[in-house]
Amino acid sequence: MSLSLLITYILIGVLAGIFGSILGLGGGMIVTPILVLAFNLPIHYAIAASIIAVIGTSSGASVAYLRDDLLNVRVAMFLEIFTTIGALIGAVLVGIFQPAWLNAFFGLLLVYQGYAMWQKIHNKKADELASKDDKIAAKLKLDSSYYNKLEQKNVSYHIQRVPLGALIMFGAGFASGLLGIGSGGFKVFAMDSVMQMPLKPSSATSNFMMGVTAAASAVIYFFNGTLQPLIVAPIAIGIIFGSTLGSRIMPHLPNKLLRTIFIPVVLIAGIQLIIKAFGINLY
Amino acid sequence: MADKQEITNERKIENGIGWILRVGVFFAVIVMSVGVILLLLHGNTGYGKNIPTDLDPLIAGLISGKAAAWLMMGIFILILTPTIRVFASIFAFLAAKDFLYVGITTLVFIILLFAAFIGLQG
Repeated sequence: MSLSLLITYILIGVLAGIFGSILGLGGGMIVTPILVLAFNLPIHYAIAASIIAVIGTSSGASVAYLRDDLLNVRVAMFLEIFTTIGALIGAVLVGIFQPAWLNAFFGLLLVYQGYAMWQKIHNKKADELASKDDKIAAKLKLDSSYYNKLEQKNVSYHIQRVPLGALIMFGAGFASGLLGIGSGGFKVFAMDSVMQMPLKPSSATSNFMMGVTAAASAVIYFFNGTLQPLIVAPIAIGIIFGSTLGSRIMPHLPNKLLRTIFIPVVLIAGIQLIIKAFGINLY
Repeated sequence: MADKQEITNERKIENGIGWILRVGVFFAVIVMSVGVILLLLHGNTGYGKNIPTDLDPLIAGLISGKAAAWLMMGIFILILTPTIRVFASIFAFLAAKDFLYVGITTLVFIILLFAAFIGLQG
């Protein structure tokens, strides 16, 4: 392998790591299309590489998010029950289900999420928080606070609508198990829009959770030889540096900017799933 | 409102989990980087096209300085990190005497083991 190719892989990783850690999406969404379109790698090798990218982003970024107290460990652990059960059931049902209508369904959901985010940008009350306690959230000790670096103040928040959030998390796990898509978008949506957790803790917590969901399938890819170490390892090294960098930038970015980057990303992912339902693969 | 004791417990849990992640990521990067350096020095993977995926030959490959073995083991450490994080969280919550979350975390860990078992069977 040439030195220039090696450096290219590392740089792809750095880019995916920064992007994935800032949005809470994991960074797999960048790695797969680049490897397929620019490097002509078969799709299953690219997906395996992107799973490792997700794990790298998750672990690399969470170090800083834990230290900054941005991440809500209890929310993550509680919701991981539902994502892991969803992923397990999804993975078992692969091959039994016709995924066409499911692709369309999850695609539409992502497009709706883009719309919801767009509404939030134009709504001045978007970052207003729930003021009342929720019974279930109180019982599970989910309420917490984080330090807002932009406004330099501590923000306490109350988690709402836990059952609906848990249901969406189950769906997110199910989608990643069955369709092999990274489901960070749904995770951020469940926490930010449904459970009324502020955007940055939602994104950081989504990032943290993604590593666990991805690890289960990564083990399988490792032992069945789908991981190409010459490609995956340099990307992973880059990812870890990128996500460490991204997790230091994110607390300083305004919410509006984060949402503005988020919208085209979920829209593209959604539209791609919808046209896949009609049998068209972009890559 | 959380009292002081709860806040300290919270920090302890977060520090413990953060430490696990940092160690996992650190070793993964070091081992993969050794692989990259060996690759540049030798100009080959040490295996040709057929890179093993079982742990025994990979460990043997580490000792004999085969580049691909170091790359694969680094990736393996990275993959294990989130699962070890869940396992270690059980003890972090136990130390904080938060038994509800000891239960929740144990449940997640069991589901993960079950998923890995099913995955490796299929």
